[in-house]
This record gives sequence, C-alpha cells and structure tokens, in this order.
Amino acid sequence: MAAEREPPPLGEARPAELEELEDGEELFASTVSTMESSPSSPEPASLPAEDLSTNSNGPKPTEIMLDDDREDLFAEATEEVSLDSPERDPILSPEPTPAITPVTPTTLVAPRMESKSVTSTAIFDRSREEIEEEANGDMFDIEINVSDPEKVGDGMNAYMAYRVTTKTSLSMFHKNEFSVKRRFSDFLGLHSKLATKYMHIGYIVPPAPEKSIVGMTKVKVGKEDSSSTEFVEKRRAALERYLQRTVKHPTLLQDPDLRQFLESSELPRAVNTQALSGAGILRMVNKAADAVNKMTIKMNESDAWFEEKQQQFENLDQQLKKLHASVEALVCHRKELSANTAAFAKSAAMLGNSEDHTALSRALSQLAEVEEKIDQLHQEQAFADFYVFSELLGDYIRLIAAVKGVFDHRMKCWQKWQDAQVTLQKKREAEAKLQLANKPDKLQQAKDEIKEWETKVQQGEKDFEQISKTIRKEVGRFEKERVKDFKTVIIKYLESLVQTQQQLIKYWEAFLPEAKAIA
Amino acid sequence: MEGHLLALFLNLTEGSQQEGSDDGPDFLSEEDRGLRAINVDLQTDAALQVDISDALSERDKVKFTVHTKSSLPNFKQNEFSVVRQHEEFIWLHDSFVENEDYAGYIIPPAPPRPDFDASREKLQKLGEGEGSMTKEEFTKMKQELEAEYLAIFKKTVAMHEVFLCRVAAHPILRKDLNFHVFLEYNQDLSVRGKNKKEKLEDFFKNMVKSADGVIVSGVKDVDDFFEHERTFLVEYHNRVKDASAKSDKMTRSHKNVADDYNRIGSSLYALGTQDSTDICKFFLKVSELFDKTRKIEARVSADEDLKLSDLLKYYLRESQAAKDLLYRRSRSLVDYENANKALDKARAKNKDVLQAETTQQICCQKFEKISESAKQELIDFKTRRVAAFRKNLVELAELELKHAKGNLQLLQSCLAVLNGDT
Repeated sequence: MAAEREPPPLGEARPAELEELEDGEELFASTVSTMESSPSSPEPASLPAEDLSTNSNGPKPTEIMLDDDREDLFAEATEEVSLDSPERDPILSPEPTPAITPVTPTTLVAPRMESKSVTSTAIFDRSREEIEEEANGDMFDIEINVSDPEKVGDGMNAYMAYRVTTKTSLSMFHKNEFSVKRRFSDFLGLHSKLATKYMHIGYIVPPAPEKSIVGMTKVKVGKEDSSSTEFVEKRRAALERYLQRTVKHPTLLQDPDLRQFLESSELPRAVNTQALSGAGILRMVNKAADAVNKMTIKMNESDAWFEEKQQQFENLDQQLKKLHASVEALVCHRKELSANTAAFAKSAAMLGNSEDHTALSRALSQLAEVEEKIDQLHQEQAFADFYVFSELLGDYIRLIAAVKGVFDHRMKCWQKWQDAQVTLQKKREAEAKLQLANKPDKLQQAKDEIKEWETKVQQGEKDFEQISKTIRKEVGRFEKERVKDFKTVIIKYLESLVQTQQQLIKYWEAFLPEAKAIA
Repeated sequence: MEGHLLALFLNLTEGSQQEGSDDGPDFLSEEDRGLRAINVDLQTDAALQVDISDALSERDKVKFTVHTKSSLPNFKQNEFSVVRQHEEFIWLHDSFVENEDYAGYIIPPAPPRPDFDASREKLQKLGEGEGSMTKEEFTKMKQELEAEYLAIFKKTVAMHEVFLCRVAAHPILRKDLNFHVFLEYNQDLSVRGKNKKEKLEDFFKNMVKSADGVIVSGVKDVDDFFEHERTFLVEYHNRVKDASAKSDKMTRSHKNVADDYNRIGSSLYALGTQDSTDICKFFLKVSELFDKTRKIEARVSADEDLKLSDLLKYYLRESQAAKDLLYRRSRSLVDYENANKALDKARAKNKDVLQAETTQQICCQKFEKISESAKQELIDFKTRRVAAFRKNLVELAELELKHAKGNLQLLQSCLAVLNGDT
C-alpha cells in the first residue's frame, strides 16, 4: 500500500487547521517521537514495516495514510489537533478518555468525512460523552478468535499454525469476516512491532504470551500425550486473549501492522523473535542496560500522581503474584484430588466385587460410580481454575510489567530532556568562551549548535509532557479495563464453582437411596 | 440384629464442626458424650456400659478416663472411673489374644497408637514461620492446626472407646477377669511397653505365625462355610487395605484444596484492602466467600475421613482379626489331625495309647469348640460390617449433600451481591 498524501477535501475550517499544523511541527513531534526536526511532510512508509529498526529508543514510526478509512476514527483524531489550544486542559484530566492519540499524522488526512465534517470549533464544542459513545460504539465491535491449532511440518522445524478469525463491522477492514493462519512467532513479531512503535511514547502495549522452549519442543517432537495437548490449548487461549486485549486498545487498533496481521494471507516471517537469534540477544542486552539505567536515573518527580501510581502498581504486582501462586497451587491440588478420587473409585469397585453381601456389594459399586463421576467433575473444575482464574492473573502480572515499562520510558524521556538541557548549557558556555576568544568562524558554528540544542530542549520538554499525558490516559484506561476484566472473570469463575456444586448435589442425591437400600 | 454395635464410629467429630467453639484439646463436651451413648448397644446398657468420659493429652502420652456403669455383681460399685493409657489397652488386647479360651472368637482389634507427631510438627513449623506471614494469616493457620489437632485427638479417643465397647458387648469377653481389672483397678496397672527383647520376641513370633499360617492355610477345609469364609476374607482384607489407603489420599487432597482456598482468601483480602479502584469491595466480598467456602471444604474432607477412611481402616483391622480367628481354627484342625495320626500310631505300636487318646480328645474338643463359636463370630462379623457400612455410607451421602448445598447457597448469594453491584 503506497502511502499518499491527499489534500483534505473538507471545508474552510480545514485549511485553518492545516496552517496551524504547519506552523507548529510540534504537533507531529509530540505525537511522533524522534521525528527529524525538518518540517517536511511525513515520509510515506511502506508496508510491511520491515524498515523498523529494533532500536528501542524510538525509530521512525510507520506513517501510513489510510485511504479507505472513514469518519469516526478521525473525529477523535482531529480532537488531538487542539493540543496547543486552551482546550488542552480537559484532555489532560486523569479520567479515562476514549480519545485516540494517533501516532500518524493522519490528522492531516481527513478523507471523505461526510456528515462528520466538523469545523475546528465544532470539535471542541462536542461533549465528551458523545465522543465516548462513538468510540465505544465503533471500537469494540470487533471479535477475534484463535482456533484450530494445526501442526505444520516435521521434526525440529515443525510449528503450530493457528487460525485467527476476525468478525467486525469496522470500516477500516476490507471485509466483515475473515481469517488467516498465523504461527506463534508471527504473534511475537506483531507485539515487537507494536511495542517498538508505541511503548516509548507512553502506550501500554499488551504483552504477548511467553515462549516456552520445553513446551514447544515436546510438540515438535510429536509427543501426542495430554501434556502437549494441554500446552497447545494453553497457548491458543493465551494468543486469543492477547489479540482481544490488543484490539480493545483504540490506538493500537488503528495500527496498520495489526491490521495486516489480522487480514493479509501472507505475512513476512518475523525472524527476529527467536530467543537465540542475534536480535534476541540484542534484546537481552538492551534489557540489562535498561535495568542498570533505571537504577541510576534519579528523577525529580514533580507530579505526585506518577509517584503514587507507581507505588500502587508495585503493590498490585506483589499481591497479584501472591494470589497467582496460591491459585496455581489450587490447580495442582485439584488435579491431584481428581486423580486420587479416580484411584479410590477403582478401589471401591474392587471392594464391592469382593463383598459377599449382595446389597452392600451393589451399594459399593454405586459408590465407585459416583466417585468416578466426581473425579471428572474435579478435573473440569481444575480446568476452570486454570483457564479462567489463573491465566487472568498471569496476564495481569505481565500487563503490569508493561505498565512499569511505560513508566520507565517516561523516566528515560525525562533524562533525555535533562541531558539536552545540560548540553545546551555547555554549548552556551562554549559560545561565551569563543566570544571572548574572538574566533568568528567557530562562533557561528557554536551559535548554530546552540540553536540546535535549544530546539532539542524544547522537543524534549514537549516529548516529556506528551508522554506524561499519554500515560495518564493509558493508566486510566488500563484501570477501567482491569476492573471490568477482574469482575467478569471472577464472576465467571464463581459460576463454574456453582456448577460443580450443583452437579455434586445431583450425584449424591442419586446415591443416597442406594445407600439406604442396604438391608 | 441390634444386639451388636451398629455405630463403631462415634460421631464425635461431627460435633466439633463449630469452629472456635470447641474446648481445648483436653476436654470432651457434654454433647459428644451424649452422642456416643446413643451408639452403644442398648442391650448391654443395663449390664455393662463403658465409655471414655475424658481424656488428657500430655507431652507424648494420652490419659483416658475410662468410665464404667454396671449392675453386674462382679464390681464393687455401680459406677466408677479409672485412668488408663494406651499401653494398658494393648496389654488387655494381647491378653485376649494369648488366652487359649478365646481362640474361637474374633478379638476386637486393638486401637492404634495415638499419633500427634504430624500435627505437632506442623504446629512447630507454623511457630517458626511466624515472622514470614501476616498476623491474620498466622491466626488463621493456627486455628486450623488446632482444629486438626483436636480432630485427631477425638479420633483416638473414639478408637479406644470402640475397643472397650466391643469387649463389653461380647457375651464371653465381657466376663474376662483382666477386663474387669482394667475397668476397676484404680492404680497403675504397671504394664510397661515392651522392651527391645520382648519386641524382638514378638517379631519372631509373628514370623513363625505367618509362616505357619501359610502351611496351615494350605490345608483344604472340609467345611464349605469356612472354606468360603477364608477365600472371602483374604481377598476382602486386601481390597479393604487398598481402598483405605486410596481413601486416605483422597481425603488429604481435599484438605489441600481447602488450605488453598484459605490462602486465596487471604490474598484477595490483601488485594481488597489495598486497591484504589472500586474493585476493592468486590475483592473483599470474594475473599469472604473463599473463607466461608473453605470451612465447608474442610468439613467435607473431615467427614470423608471419618465416614469413609476410618470405616475402611477399622474393617481392615477387623478383617485381620477375623483372619486370625480362621488361622487359629485351622491351626487347631491341624493339631487335631496330627493328634489323630499320633493316636493311630500309638495304637499300632500299643505304646502310650492313653496319653495319645487324651491328647486327641483335647484337640478334638478344642477344634469343635473353636469351630462352633467361629461360625457364629463370622456371621456376626458380616452383620456388623453390613450395618456399619450402611450407616456410614448413608451418613456420608447426607453430609456430602448438606455441604454441597451449603456451598451452593454461599456461592449463589455471593454472586447475587456481586452482580447487583456491577
């Protein structure tokens, strides 16, 4: 898809906005991090975004012009235009807002907005609720299923292919229902791209499911036992949850890489996701470097909100880990209970066989049957324990790690700003020195450098403010999602417990008359 | 026949289900004693009624207060109590086993030794780990372990009491002199536990016995009844052993699940108190649910233990006692046959004929006596067994239902609240 810039076909208001935009490249700068300071138009990028470097510090984002796309998405997008306007303050409120902060300068492109042709003033007049409604109405009308795991190939080169089915009424997709085949590394590749693009500017990108060399090897080697089936099922469910979380994020949903992942039948192989590849090792090195940096950055936190939130997330992390460990123990013990109940059932059946009192013998056989059914019940409950409860907790532990990562990026961003200020100061001092030494040619260079660094400082400040703003929004959204998620999942889990008890009642009620019948 | 004890498993621990309202491990509530009385055979009530009215747990021994009510002339008073320890019960049991006159009866199995080691170890570990957990967690676990200790304690009391009641109900054994001494003599019986030498002797005796048992069991019995009983008992005993072990494992798994609920409840509570969003109320409610449901699950485990595991364990011991009876009978049969052969030989040689005749007479009488009572004993054993299984299986099913319904109600009301809130 070649990217093309279309002149916005809208009314007068548009050009006015455009002027605004062109004057302040900051708009792009703020939504797009390390953009070159040249005021040139955004470069067309080509899909697939292979030119994205794995440099975690902010490569050029892919700026895709979305020709097909229509209204609603851009309604919110244009709201972002108001960054520099006085209306900025409401946007900065810590409430969760549904507004999208697009990375791409698609604000410029307002294709065929029919009835939604809004003037800049009109945008600001629009109530928050309206926008929210629109966002909710459109954003969440997408359903993703991951199914049909299929083994492709043989031996160590084998892999599992999963069917990813999307059902949506969103207009940005070509069809309403479509499916593609993807393998695990494709998912990792998608996450890697999204993380690289969005995390350093403050977006909480849902983490992908974890790799498991042991699990995968078993599958590759072709062990058809229950543990490898379980592993595949666990992975399938995790991939599904991962995609569902990702598309719920209004900004990520618009990302072309995500769309390509969901839609296109062929996807370039993401080789850099292998753990032992060069890129993998580079990632590990970067992670280590980050960890060291984190320890050395002492940020002057001017905003208490961030400090508070970080502490809260830290606590939440600890508590969730503890709960997760307990639930994992529960899963394990319930599986044991199921196995022991099955063993007892067999033993009771044997005992019933050797009992020579007929009625008692029959009752013991019935007992054995009941216990066998109960063992099945325990197994199903263990299943629910795990897939409903335990996995949710695991997901959130990883999500919180992503949230922490985003906070770290903000720190790095602050550091960069501070560094720029320091450098500017140095340059000024150097210039002053040169002035005294009276070296005109070097002086000009020094002045140029000062200008350059002044811009950088300004940029740094803007970046920092932007990332702070984005994080506030993201955290608000995250908290809302978290509350909803937990409530839904826990209620679902409790309902599974209810079912188990109801079944138990049925079984024992059937047995009781048998026991009483022993004469 | 109600003439036999129907309930060999006393309903002690059922009464203990009110957490926290229990007395310390040293006292038995009035209620418990009342329940037990119902289970004792009514026919023997007037003549001889024995129970354990109290028990005291000291460092490594348990002191049982054996209380007797009797209208029999053998005793000096109508009602009296003595304090006995486990070793004295064993002494009494062994005296029955060694008594030739009782060879034809199923000797009620000896109660197992009180074993608080596991529980004590857990309590100790808890004490050591006190620093690593929150105060609530610690209190919770301590209460749990104390309840566990109490349950074990009550069980051991029940086992000892069952033994005495069985003896008291047996028409012949209840008249045993040692038994009366046991019940009445209010001084220490000075039965020390066996020392090393005696334990070694016992070991050899057992070996000889089992070797002999193998030889003796090879002898085919003419009597169909006993032949059938032998085949039945051997197989039954093995299967009961297996079922008992598996039931134990199942019960323990249930307990583990209940323990996990406990920890989950605590974690949810911590989450609920620390969360800043409106989900904290939610967490607290769910935490409460887990606490309550855990209590029910723990009870399920305890009831399964009592009604199923203990039942199987007891019949494991009883079936062994029945096997022992069969062995003694077979032994006497072999002796009888040998005496016959000796008599024939003596007659042939015309030497010591009188002596051989006497021996043969004795053996014959012994064998016939054993056979007669053994038959009745085995029939009674079956009746007892069927009745006990019936009672316990019915009670098991009723309790499981009660708990499942309780759980269901808890869950449903919690869900109603949670759904109402959101």
